[in-house]
Amino acid sequence: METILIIGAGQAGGRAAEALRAQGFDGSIVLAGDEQHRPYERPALSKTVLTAIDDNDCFNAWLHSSDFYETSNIDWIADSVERLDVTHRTATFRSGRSIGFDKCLITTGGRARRLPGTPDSRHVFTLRTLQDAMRVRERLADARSVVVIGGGFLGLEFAASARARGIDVTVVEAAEQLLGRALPREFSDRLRAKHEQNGVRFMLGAKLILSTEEACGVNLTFEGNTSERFDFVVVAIGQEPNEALARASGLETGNGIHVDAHCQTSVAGFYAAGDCANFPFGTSGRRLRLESWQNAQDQAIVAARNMLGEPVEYRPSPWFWTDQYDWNVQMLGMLDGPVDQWIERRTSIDKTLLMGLRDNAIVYALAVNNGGELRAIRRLVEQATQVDPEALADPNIKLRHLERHAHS
Amino acid sequence: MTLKFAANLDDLNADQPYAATIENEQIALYLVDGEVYATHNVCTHQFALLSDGFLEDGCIECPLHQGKFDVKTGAALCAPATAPIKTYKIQIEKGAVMVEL
Repeated sequence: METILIIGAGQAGGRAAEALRAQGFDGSIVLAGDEQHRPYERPALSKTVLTAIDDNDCFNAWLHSSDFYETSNIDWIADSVERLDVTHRTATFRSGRSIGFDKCLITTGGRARRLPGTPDSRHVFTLRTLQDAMRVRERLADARSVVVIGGGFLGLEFAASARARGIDVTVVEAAEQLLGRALPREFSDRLRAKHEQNGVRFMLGAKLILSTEEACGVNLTFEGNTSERFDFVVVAIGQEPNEALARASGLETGNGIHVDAHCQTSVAGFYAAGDCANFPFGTSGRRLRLESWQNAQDQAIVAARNMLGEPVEYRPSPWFWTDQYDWNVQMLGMLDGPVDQWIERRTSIDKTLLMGLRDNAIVYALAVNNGGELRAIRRLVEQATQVDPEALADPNIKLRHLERHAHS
Repeated sequence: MTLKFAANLDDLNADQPYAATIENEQIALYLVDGEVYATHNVCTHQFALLSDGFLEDGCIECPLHQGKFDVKTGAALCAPATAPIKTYKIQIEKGAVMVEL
């Protein structure tokens, strides 16, 4: 009987296991993760896990019901792979157990980047796992102030949650602008204003030099020699891909595990997907990793199909969302080239759709509380369809009619 | 079980679901190929109104995270939606959409 080993039991690993069964694979599936929990989705970790009133009700983002793995005959084990022999196709676990397999999918995800030069401290937290989030939740209960290092999506989501808990929040960001590479300048300023209205204080262009632990908090010193004390610190300065096992096993790595459009690594029979996978993107084929809910799900499913012999290329249209206060912000496409015109369809300050055009095609769109409208233009973005900017700006013209017209 | 007025048939269009609140129950009405369907209006994944979502080929996509439901059966069709959405029987009476509650 054929055995497929999935290393990493996060969202990507769990979805891949499910997809293998859904596609009719009837061999053995071993799904091994180093967390004590069955696969779950991480978006809730910076939101409801922190804001829910009841401890027993603060997390329900499991990927599957608790009996799914047994009924689907998926051998989920909480044990991490320490050695992978790609020649003999064997894996050795931390527990000492060793298994043979026929094909392998690596979905080891990423880990929170640590702040260089900051010693381990019980007042310094990161947010990557459910365990991390539960620790932060506990700390929020008796803290009055927190400093967030990093004004990215995770840091801002955490800031919103901490404000909902009534805690003083300071966000420290090294750049002069929040999310400069992910958001258009104008919207970045609006997002900052939204946080400021909710009581968040920003230190932009701030450089942390030193942190020292005190009895019940930390003292941070910034360039310019200003110093401040906070009850605790949340470090949200991005993640690093978990590629060490793949590298040690001889797979090609470098900012993640290198895969081709079929999610296969440099060694036949070995695949990777999710946060840890570095794949050729778009028409240029430039290599990148995507750290998103959508990528963890979709790339894992494509990998599973390829592993079963169906040649499918992974060609995503990047889609991200973030929930902060009463805003659901969604982004479609990547802000990675010049935009020669911005068009906004604005219903209110809390509901809008912002579209970036290049050569009369929408290359990027951002929606605030307007996911339905964003969805209506998805195919226009995916297919780089030529659009009439005037029609796009006309509130009397329905976007989905424009879309239908363009493709009829 | 009673029939309650939800909307005039003329208020419905095939592009966009219609949101109706009947006795504190939030309901979304859909017009698909000339037929009317009704589901609960709140996504089973997180709080969002399906009536703000994207209706295509008889499926409603939630505006929040693109979970998808079959408006005829209520079946959850793609993640993050996993639990089905409640559906309601409807009747058309003299141009009015009546929902069975």
